[in-house]
Order: sequence, then structure tokens, then C-alpha cells
Amino acid sequence: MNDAWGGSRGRTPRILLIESHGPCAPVDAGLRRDATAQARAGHPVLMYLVEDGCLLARPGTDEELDRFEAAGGRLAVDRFSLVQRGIEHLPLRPRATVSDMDELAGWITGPDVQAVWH
Amino acid sequence: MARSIPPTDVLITLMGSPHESERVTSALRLVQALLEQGRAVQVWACGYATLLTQNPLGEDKPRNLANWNGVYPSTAALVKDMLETFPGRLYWYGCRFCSDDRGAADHLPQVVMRPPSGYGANVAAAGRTLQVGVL
Repeated sequence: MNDAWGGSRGRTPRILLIESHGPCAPVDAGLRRDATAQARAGHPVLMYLVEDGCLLARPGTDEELDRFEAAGGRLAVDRFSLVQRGIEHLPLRPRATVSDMDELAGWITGPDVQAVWH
Repeated sequence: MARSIPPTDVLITLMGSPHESERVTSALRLVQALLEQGRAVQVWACGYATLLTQNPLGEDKPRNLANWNGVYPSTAALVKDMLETFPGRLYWYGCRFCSDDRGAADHLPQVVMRPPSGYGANVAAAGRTLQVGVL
């Protein structure tokens, strides 16, 4: 994950988007749309799914995330959030990786990273 | 004379209602992870997040009727423990306006209350700013 996401280090900012809203939140998928647009523009984008956002890691939950992944965006899912909801054993999107908060901390403080929490 | 803000790697601006969601838990997990990686962190609590560090919260939360013998630390106790575990690397600031507006007048002694106009100095002292939650 780090290697792939860090491939363009020094050339363009890496974008780290932290999504805490799930599929049933009373907000639209604006952040996910922005993520797709950034990925399509060629920026390295990593989305970290935390809290209810971890529910989006399940296959078929969000068409915008399908487009995001198709555009080259990477997904990481917070293990604690999965366990807290009892869904850590259920299948996730094939390319999503399960991560922990220490990895997120490392990404936030990485070089050329622009991080947004939603 | 303006207060000097110690430089930190990250500023986390924590806003919003503490118990509306898991936001505070996530933010505290992230703060702890950053500190354990040797980073210096400052937290600016704004809005209802200023309620987290009040002394009247005590050490523990009220008893849980579903787990009568369980002991759960208060948010003030959690913050106090991190401040004492990571001296010189964790700084906790509170927005004085938001705190006064909510009647939260008695905070942990390590919490520094700051005027809203001072927020820019905290941002300038941070290598990176992350805003968590909205007012």
C-alpha cells in the first residue's frame, strides 16, 4: 500500500481522504465524488474508511467507490471499526486492505501528503 | 505578550459534539498513535469538544447499568493520562470562547485556553493540520 501510494512522491501531492460517514449517513457522497475526480486527474489518492465509513468496504455498497477504485484510488479500512461492528470476518472489496490507526498516523505525517477528515 | 506555541508535527482541530458519534474515540486513537511514533501533537478543542477536559468529569464515567462493575475512564482522565505519558510532545488547547459559551470553566491544569483569534498561531506552529468534525 505505502509503496504504490508513494510512487509519485515529490512530483504531486498525495491525497489522503478519511471517510467516517457510512452509506446511510444523511449526507451525499461528495467526498467520494471528489476522491474519484482526483484519482481520474492522476493524483495518488488513498481513502481510509473509519467508523461507519468501514461499511463502505463491503462489496456493492457504493457505486461511487466502485468508480473511485476503477480510477486507481486505493482503499484502506480501519480494523477497529470493523471489529466494533462485528463484520471483520465478512468479505470486503477485493482491493481494500485492512489497516490500523498507526498506519494512518504514518500516512498523515508522510511527505507531500494532504489529508482531509470527513 | 503573545503566547509562544511550541512547534508540533500535527495539529488536530477537534470540533463538534463529543458523544454524537465515535469521533472523539477516533481522534484520541489517532493522537495516541502519532505520539507512539514519536511525533509531537497539539489538539485544539472547539465547540462542544471543549467539554472533554473538564475537571468535574472526574476519573471515571458514571456506572454502566449493563456492566455494573465495569470502570470506564472519563475523557478528562484519558487526556490527562496522555499528557502525563507524553510530556513535551502533547499539547491540549481549548477555545476560550466556545468553552465560556458552554459554561465549561474548570479544565485540567495542563489545558491551555486560547482566544479564537489565536488559532492562526497554532496552525502556524504545526507542520500539518487536520480538522476533525464540524461545529
